[in-house]
Amino acid sequence: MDLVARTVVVFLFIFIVTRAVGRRELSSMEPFDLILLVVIGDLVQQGVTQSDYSVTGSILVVATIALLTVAMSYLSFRFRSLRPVLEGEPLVLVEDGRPIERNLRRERITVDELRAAAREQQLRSLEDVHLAVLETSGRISFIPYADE
Amino acid sequence: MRRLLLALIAVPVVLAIAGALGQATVTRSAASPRAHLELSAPAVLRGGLMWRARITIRARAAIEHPRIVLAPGYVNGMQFNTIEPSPASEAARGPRLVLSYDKLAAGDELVVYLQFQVDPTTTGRQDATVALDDETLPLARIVHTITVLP
Repeated sequence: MDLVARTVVVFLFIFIVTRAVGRRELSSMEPFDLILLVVIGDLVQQGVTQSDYSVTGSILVVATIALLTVAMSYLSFRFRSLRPVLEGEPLVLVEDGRPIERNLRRERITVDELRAAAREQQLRSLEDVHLAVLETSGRISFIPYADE
Repeated sequence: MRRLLLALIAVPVVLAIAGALGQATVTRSAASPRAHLELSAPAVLRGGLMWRARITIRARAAIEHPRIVLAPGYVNGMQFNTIEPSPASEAARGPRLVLSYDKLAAGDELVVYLQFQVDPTTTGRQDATVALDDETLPLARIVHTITVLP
């Protein structure tokens, strides 16, 4: 019982953290972020399983996480109004070649980072971009004028 | 098919919420004209878990040499961390552990806390019976088993 309760609390906390940190940071991990992620994983494991070394305990934690993941996915699928909370919403970063400063600030993305992301998509400059959208996955989709 | 698998995954979680997979504490008691004995301890544990047992003795008549006799399940495959209050002496009676305390007058209450940790490799049912003797005269006995899940 206590193991399931601890898993639920940690799952919800991690969910809140990932929603608060932002999509861009999570989708583009530097080596430091990767190491931090491993450290967080270790700390979380200690908090959840504590001194439990049993196979039963491991099964309980994995099963609880699996059920919570399915529940989140189902809630997002079933209730449209919950989708922005659970998954976030796509955010327009560039419209008609002009970066939207307010949205860039909100996601802490600089224009230079946006230009670099555009170059990775074989786009010379932001002026070639009709629409750039930060997807809920953290990736940026670029729609050039030429595609229309 | 996927729903069936999800239902299977949910089974251990439901069992755990119901307290069937440890470490919910159960309380059992036994009484005789001279004493009331109560044991509060888990019935199901998992490898590595820390747990405690609480033994309460209420003397209805004077007990000259109160002795708590613990079944082997308290020692086999368990790390014995502490006993509070410490007994005046400890001894073995076959595979059982005997904790001796000072005299209890009628109406006295003695509460003993025992702290343990399950060895990670321990599994199966353990005899966790507790008995109260006046020296060697049996006064009360609680039959209890602890199941350690792998």
